[in-house]
Amino acid sequence: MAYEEQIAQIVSSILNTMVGWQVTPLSQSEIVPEDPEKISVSGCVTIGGDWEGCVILTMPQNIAHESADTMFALDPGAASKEEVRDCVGELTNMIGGNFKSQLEGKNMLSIPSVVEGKEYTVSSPGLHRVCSQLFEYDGKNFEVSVLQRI
Amino acid sequence: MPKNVLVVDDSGVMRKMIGRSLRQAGLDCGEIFEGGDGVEGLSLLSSHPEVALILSDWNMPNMDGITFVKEVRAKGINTPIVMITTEATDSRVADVKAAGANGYVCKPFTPEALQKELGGFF
Repeated sequence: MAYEEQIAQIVSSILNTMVGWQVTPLSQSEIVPEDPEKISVSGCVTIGGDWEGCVILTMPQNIAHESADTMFALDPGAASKEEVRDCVGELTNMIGGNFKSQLEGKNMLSIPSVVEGKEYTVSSPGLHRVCSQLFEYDGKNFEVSVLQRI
Repeated sequence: MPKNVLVVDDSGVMRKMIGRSLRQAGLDCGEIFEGGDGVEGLSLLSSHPEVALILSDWNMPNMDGITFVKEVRAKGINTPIVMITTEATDSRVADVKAAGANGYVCKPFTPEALQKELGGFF
């Protein structure tokens, strides 16, 4: 199964089960360019062992905030920055962990790291982007990427 | 009689969701104690020996879940421990059961899945 297909299944299942969201995987032709001035939140987990790389979830700040409000069962807009980072980290952990479970061989998963800001790129020396899957939720897009050492 | 539960997970949102899901599943929980890693989990177990069920993540800073399970068993504590984690491969399940865990729940989970896996401990 291609990485895009794996990621689409994993992300749809996790966000439906944990946040109650119905998300739609997008094809490249459906992608609407995001405003680079928008603040985004990214979570990253690395996988080491027989397969080496990382899984990155990048959400616009408003979607990340909405996920935190829902997961903490708070009123809209009530989640703190720390709670938003915690949510994005945990969602990334679940996506990375489920992805790792489908890989061959013996692998280890890191604890998630979370960054927040504008116009940044997440990269790591020696890793190549092998999957970039966009999703739509409530008219907004977010992305899950897989980088692999090849 | 309600049973007190210890939830050990480095994610605050996950600890909250587990606690909420236990109640949504209709499980007869008393107080729910929360620890952010295995070290905090051991400390909470010392101060609350009445805890009747432990739910633990695997991937955590300072002390991970499998080390936590081994430490709990090394202290002679027989309280049931169920792992709630994304680490769902057969070999990982076998490792943690060999360390002394009593059960396993995969993330993501629903309240119904928790009820099915944990109902026997209440």
